[in-house]
Amino acid sequence: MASTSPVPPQAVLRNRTKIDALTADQLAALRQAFTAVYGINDDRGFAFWAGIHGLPLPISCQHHNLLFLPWHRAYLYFFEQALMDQVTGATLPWWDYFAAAQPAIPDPYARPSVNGAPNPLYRGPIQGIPPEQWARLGAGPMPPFTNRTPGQLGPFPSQDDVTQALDAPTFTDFSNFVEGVHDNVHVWVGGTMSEIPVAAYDPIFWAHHCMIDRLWYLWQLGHPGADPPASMLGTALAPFRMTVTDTLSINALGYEYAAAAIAVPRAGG
Amino acid sequence: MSSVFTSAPIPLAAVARGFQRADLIFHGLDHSGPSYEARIYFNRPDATENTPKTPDQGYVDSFFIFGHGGCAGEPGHCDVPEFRRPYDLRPPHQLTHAIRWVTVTEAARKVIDGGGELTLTVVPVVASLRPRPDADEDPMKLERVTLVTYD
Repeated sequence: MASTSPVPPQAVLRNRTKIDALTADQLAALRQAFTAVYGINDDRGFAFWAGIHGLPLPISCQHHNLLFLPWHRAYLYFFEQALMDQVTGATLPWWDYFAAAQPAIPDPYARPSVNGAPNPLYRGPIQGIPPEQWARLGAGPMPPFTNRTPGQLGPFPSQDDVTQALDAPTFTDFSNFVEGVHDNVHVWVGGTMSEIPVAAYDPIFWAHHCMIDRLWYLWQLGHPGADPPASMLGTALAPFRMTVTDTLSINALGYEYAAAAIAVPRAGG
Repeated sequence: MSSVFTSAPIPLAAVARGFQRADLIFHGLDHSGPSYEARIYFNRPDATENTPKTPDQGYVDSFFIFGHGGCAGEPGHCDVPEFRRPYDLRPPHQLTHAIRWVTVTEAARKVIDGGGELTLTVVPVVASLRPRPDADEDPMKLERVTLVTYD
């Protein structure tokens, strides 16, 4: 009997697609992957990854300093790996803020249910936070799931805000403006997204941050060699085993943000 | 209503109008509490969070701060050290006060054209579904502001 050998995966860059362009199969894979990690109660599971950004302590995310962009790029990378561990081919999509005529949560994330079942992208479970830590925030009872209040806490950023960031001449300037857009979107989504301790428990968090990461990538393309200050390149991005330098090339991390990625077959193949 | 920052009148007449860019730099912003929007008004010292965000009311722009949401640790957990010991190689405290800048080029030019005196008002508006802070509570705790122009 002939034995079958496992086929090693090909080293192909995965393409992070905008939400609106996800194929039915890609969207299904994403939902399947989120459902899978929701159900795992160890360091492969959703609560572990969401908890790195917020509660339980320590809160490891970096905001309002120059580590903001590198730290979140590393964070997305490791969470995407955790998704792919469950569903091969599941990649994080990015939220095109201006895809709709009016600011809106993208439809795949806005539907409470899909085919009669709860939509895992609509809300995420909030688990694993010690009650005493939650209580110290004075935020009332800990909700079992994330919630959103789009538009109730603040306006949506404008295209001009994004353009201003992309036109920034230095990394420091870009980081300031793009973090302003980022903060603005967190406030616009509202609910748990407006609070650092629980924001990453909302599935839209990851699409939001992919957009921010993509904007950094676009800015990098327009400003080759304009890296973060040299003094921070060796800085570790705890708890990840990465430094700032490790985050500078998205291709080295195995992904890209192509508008289209079409396999071109060889003639006569 | 949260605490509003209002500056003393700032003479801008001596500033050459030909600058390419003008930034307001906000130093020492607190981000340990709730998220908030900071609304910037020029020559509108009585601005409140009910003042319309329109140019005719002196509104210039806003910036947003995604807040840490309070302290989930024991007392002292989120206190930012006043200074760092020599050879303390740990990263700066996560809640070290932030700097944010907002480009206000056209608005600054208009002030100069209109006589050159600027009163800056920054109105923080807490963006949280939790109970609002008391009137005297200030989510920004702004340390200082500078207006910087670039030729």
